[in-house]
Amino acid sequence: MVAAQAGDQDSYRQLLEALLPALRRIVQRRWRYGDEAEDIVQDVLMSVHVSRNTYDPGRPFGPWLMVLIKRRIADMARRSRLRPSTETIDAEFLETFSGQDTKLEQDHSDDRSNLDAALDKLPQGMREAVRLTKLEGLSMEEAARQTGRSEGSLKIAVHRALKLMRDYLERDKSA
Amino acid sequence: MESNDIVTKLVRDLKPTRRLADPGSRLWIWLGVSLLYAGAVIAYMGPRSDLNFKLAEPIFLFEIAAPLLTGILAAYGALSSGVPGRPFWERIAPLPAAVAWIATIGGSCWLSFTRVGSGALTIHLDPICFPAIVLAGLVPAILLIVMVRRGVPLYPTMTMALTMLAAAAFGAAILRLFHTQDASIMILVWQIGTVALLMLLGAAAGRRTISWQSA
Repeated sequence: MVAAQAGDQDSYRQLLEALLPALRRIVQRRWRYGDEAEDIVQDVLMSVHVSRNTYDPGRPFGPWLMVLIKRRIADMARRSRLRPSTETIDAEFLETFSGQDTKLEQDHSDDRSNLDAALDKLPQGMREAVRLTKLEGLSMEEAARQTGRSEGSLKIAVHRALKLMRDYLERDKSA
Repeated sequence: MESNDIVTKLVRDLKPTRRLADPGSRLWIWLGVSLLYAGAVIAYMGPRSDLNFKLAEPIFLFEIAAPLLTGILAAYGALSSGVPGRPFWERIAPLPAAVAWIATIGGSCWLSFTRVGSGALTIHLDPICFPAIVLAGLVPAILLIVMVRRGVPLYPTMTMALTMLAAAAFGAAILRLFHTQDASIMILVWQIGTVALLMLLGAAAGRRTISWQSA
């Protein structure tokens, strides 16, 4: 890690490659609530990268790393608590919500307000994922950098968010 | 993206980084700047007229030392909370000083009550307290927020609560040097109340102020 702080890419690669299997083992042992273990591993890798300036060579590396792992697991647990427990992953991505060609101006306005309402109902993490990738048009990579989340976790968040929004909209329509 | 791809990308993006100084060294910087600012605030507001006389009273000195120590230890806790692997006690270090501060003021309230009766516990409006503590703690707060954001957002709520406790307790200590309000109940309600409120506001803003996005 000391060499990595100095910008030595070879040492950094060796460190991360050596860490990866250990990280997977530790996270899989500690995270038993879903299939996000690999997302957490990726979050930890990103955290190691952005936190590398805080490593003090005078102190042991293990406890430094363990704190990052524990905090990223806690972050994922908090994000998971925000998700509705009944949701399931749908293999199909929802591409569009409505056809645009045959609509009146009023219909467009209604669609917009319904979409805004559905977006507001989403948990914060999902809302942010949709806002960045669908409304602001960022790539997954850019959005991941901005949120500090892994691309995999963002993709899942967007996918789940779109499904939830579709459910909200269908519920509103049938009400 | 696979984890191995992330490793490749992180290695490719690696640049030399300046190691963050230890919390103790950063605390000295914060304290030095904050004391200089406190001197400027006291000069601007004008020191209280009986300051020389009050500085000879041990209880007055203790009532200043306790919030000052609370502020310094809270700042140390805030700086330490952004460094992975630092011991837990560093984050709760301000607790004994804060308890001593509240106990001293509370004890003075009780003494006043036993001597004077319920009249000693009358609470008046003291509208200067809140803005004065905010003014005296403004630069220490801004500086400490900038410093803690250089660390890792491990415990954002606690870090921001400690940051605001540090700045507000520091401000409350400095306030005693230019504001002639010595009634214990007033100090308890308005000064300690303001510090507690600012600390709660800091905790509430923790996740918005310090996050992995800002790291």
